[in-house]
Amino acid sequence: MTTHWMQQPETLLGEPGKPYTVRKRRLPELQAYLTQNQMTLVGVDAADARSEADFISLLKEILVFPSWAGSTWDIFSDIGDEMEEEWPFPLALIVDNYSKMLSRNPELALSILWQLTSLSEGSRTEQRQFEIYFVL
Amino acid sequence: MGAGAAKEAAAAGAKAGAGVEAGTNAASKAAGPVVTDAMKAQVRTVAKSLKETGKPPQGIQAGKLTGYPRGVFANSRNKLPQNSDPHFYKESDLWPPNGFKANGKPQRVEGRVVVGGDRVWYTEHYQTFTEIID
Repeated sequence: MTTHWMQQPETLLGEPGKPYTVRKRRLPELQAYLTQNQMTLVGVDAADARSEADFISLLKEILVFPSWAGSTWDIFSDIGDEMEEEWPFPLALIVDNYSKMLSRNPELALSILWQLTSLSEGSRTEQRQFEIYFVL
Repeated sequence: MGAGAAKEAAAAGAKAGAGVEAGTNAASKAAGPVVTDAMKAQVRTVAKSLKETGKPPQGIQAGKLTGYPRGVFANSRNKLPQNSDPHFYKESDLWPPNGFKANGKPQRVEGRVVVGGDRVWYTEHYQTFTEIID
């Protein structure tokens, strides 16, 4: 459980409040800020994902998931214990090239935005900081 | 639950669902899991407990969705009928076929039971849902 709660670097973000977006040119500054604030940084390249299952596969490459976990968003109904044990909170996930996904597949991009933001909010209710940054 | 109690519960569960085997061959996965009669018996036992107590029987783990009470299935992809109550669907593991870890926690596998109202489904980690009809 997190006692320290990182404050958002609002000057680097597109709008105050979730979902957090950052322009590509400001990404190095954001990464430096997050590191300075003891967040564990992980990143995925949204340009590589063509489907929900693709995107979850990318998450599985950078975060620990149970071997039996499926590949739909519904798996998050069930793996809260495993996330709590294995994920390095406080955690920042950077979704790079999100603007490419938005232009290529807006339905998928908006779905991912909603699902990840919901997961982030759920973590907050349990005092675990899990922040998502969508790179535009 | 301690390891001893968990093992006793598992033995009772195994008796309830003796001979359970998940349908895990490639053909069955493509068309949805094969749910054997023995598995259906186990699913019904777990579903009954979920309906009556809101919890699975002793020795079985219900999963956790961060930010929700344990055992809630959010149906975030609307694969099951939508409902106004975000806590309407409950989910649980079955009895762990591979037993328990040294800390007493079950070694989980992909099989899950989902209950909503009077309806019951078996799912292999939410890829497909097979309704269990009496």
